[in-house]
Amino acid sequence: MAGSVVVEGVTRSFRGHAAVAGVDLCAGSGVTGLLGPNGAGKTTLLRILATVLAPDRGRLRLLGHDPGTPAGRLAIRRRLGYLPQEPGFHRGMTVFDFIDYVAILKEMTDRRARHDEVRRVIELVGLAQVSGKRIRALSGGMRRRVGLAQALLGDPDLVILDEPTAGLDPEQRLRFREIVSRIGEGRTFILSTHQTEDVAAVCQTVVVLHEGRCLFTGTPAGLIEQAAGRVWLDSTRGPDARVAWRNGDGLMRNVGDPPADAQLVAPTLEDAYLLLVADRGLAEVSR
Amino acid sequence: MSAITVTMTGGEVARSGSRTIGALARREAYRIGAHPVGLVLLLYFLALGGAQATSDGLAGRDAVHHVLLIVGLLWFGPATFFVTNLVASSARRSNAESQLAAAPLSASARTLATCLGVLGPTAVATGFAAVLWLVERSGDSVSRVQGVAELAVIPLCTLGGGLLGAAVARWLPWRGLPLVVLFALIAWVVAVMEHGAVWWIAPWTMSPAYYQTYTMGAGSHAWHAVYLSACRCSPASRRCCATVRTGGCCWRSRPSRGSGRSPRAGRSFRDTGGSARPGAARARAGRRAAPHHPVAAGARRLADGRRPAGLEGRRRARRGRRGHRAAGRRGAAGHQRGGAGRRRGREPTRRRTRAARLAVRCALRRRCAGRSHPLGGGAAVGKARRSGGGAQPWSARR
Repeated sequence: MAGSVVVEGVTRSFRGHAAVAGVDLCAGSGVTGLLGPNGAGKTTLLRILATVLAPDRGRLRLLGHDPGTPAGRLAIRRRLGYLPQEPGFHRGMTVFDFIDYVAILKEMTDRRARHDEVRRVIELVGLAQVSGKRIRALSGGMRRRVGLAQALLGDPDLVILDEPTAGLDPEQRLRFREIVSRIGEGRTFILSTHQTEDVAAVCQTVVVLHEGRCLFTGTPAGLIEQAAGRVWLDSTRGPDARVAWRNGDGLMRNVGDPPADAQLVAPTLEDAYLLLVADRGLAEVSR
Repeated sequence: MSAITVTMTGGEVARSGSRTIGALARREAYRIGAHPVGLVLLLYFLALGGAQATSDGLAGRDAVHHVLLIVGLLWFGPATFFVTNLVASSARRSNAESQLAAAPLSASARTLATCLGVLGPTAVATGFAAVLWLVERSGDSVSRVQGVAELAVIPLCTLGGGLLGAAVARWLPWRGLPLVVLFALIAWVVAVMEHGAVWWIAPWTMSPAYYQTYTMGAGSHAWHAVYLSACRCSPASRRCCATVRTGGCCWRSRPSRGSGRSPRAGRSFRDTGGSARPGAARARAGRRAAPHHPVAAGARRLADGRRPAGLEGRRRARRGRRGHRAAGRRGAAGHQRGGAGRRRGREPTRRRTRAARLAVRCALRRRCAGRSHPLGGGAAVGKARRSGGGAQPWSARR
């Protein structure tokens, strides 16, 4: 396999429970989205990719380096940007000071260039107005953007974002998509999210995880294609529908095995994702 | 593309670890100096000194001298202890560890920078002692003049308090422990001060200008020397010295291609996954020596018919030649571990034993430090994992 991120058979367990169980993944330049229900192992996988957590088994190759060695890990970290799911901040610091502090940790020692870079990323995430404010005075969404800014410091080659759009308002989500589309070219972005619209909007590759295993790897269009002919509208819930919910227009949107006279509609990425996860759950129940 | 962008993306980073540590140490010194807790304590001790001077009926220079004395003896040490502890533990307390763990600078290096940052308050304390010295000698109204050794207590306490604060943050990472440690320290001082024979074992020297009843003895200074020596021997300090030692080597042996990493710097500032011992690292990883290992490089150059240049090169050449001859005797192509032995499927017994010993020592040291082992084999590793020690091996915990 070739790519910036190569994962082969990676397994990680916590007290006997396999959070990640033999995941294979290959991601080159572009945006890769991780989808999956809660507890699917997305965060664990991203922490492994961010060299924060070591796998129990499996092989990893990130940016051409082996994170199992100190030298490889250092080389990876020098070209890595990471936003964890619950980023912590020195709350007494101002936005500028905190990002400047992280910039020092990223080995940017030249003061003037570092400050220019800090101002650039603050501008990029739209926090220029509050750069002098203490982090404790910021809202949750703004703190998220502070985390995003520190992850983008120094134009890293590999950016790992764990639920970057959680807590962002629609305008900021659109801004985030714009940022990712703009700077994602030529770099490897891996992001996990529960927002299928974000994946559909910015990701070239989508990976669906379920209970630590990889259910699907491919393009969003490929995932949507799997749900073709399995989404229909009806006034009631279909007997073989895996998932169904009532739309704003009063009709039930059913996802599953349609009846013969069903009014089929074009599936979305969300439909395909729900169908995939629901099918998997059904298969496990029947087993 | 900015200058930073160029240096970051190329992987050929022409930066030394010591420069980064220096920059971070300056930042930490600023954080320690500007911490609100220190300022609040300063106000408290100023008020305390002023109240005491008023109640004692002191006026003019004597009152100023009294306040300065109280600030010097009671504020610098404890305040630096608390503030350094807060600064060193701030990442843990604010749950920022996992975010910072993905940065190239490891937690050990961050702690080292905090320890170096204590030099900032120590310099201020030295200046303060100099001011006190001037105040005491610029007139004749002050009742008692302190000697240089007594005044040196102020910066020494500041340095010791700061280092102790960083040590408590790293090794006693529980809420409220700094207070317990400081009260234990005070209790110790008070307890031994009441028993004349053993007063010199007090870890906090007291000036007779403040406690008139006790005389200054060499014992306290000796104790401080022991304490600072112990701090010097701590792992963080050893890494500090290794950095200083290898600072030049970083520049000399920095490869012009590849990761841009200095092998020595990488070993010095290892995080939990690293090892300062190349033998242990190789034993763990079970593979050949790092390609930039100086001895191995010397052997390779000799094998290629080249001679390493410079003093370091000659040293390498000597070591490499020895390794080359030894490797020749073993039938291996170079000095690197795992040559012929690995080809036969196992390493020679002597090397295997040494590697195993190093690996076990490494694992024990990690376990003692409350950390788990990184990737790699070995019985000790497996045992640590089975016992639940492998929760977060790569993360740079304090």
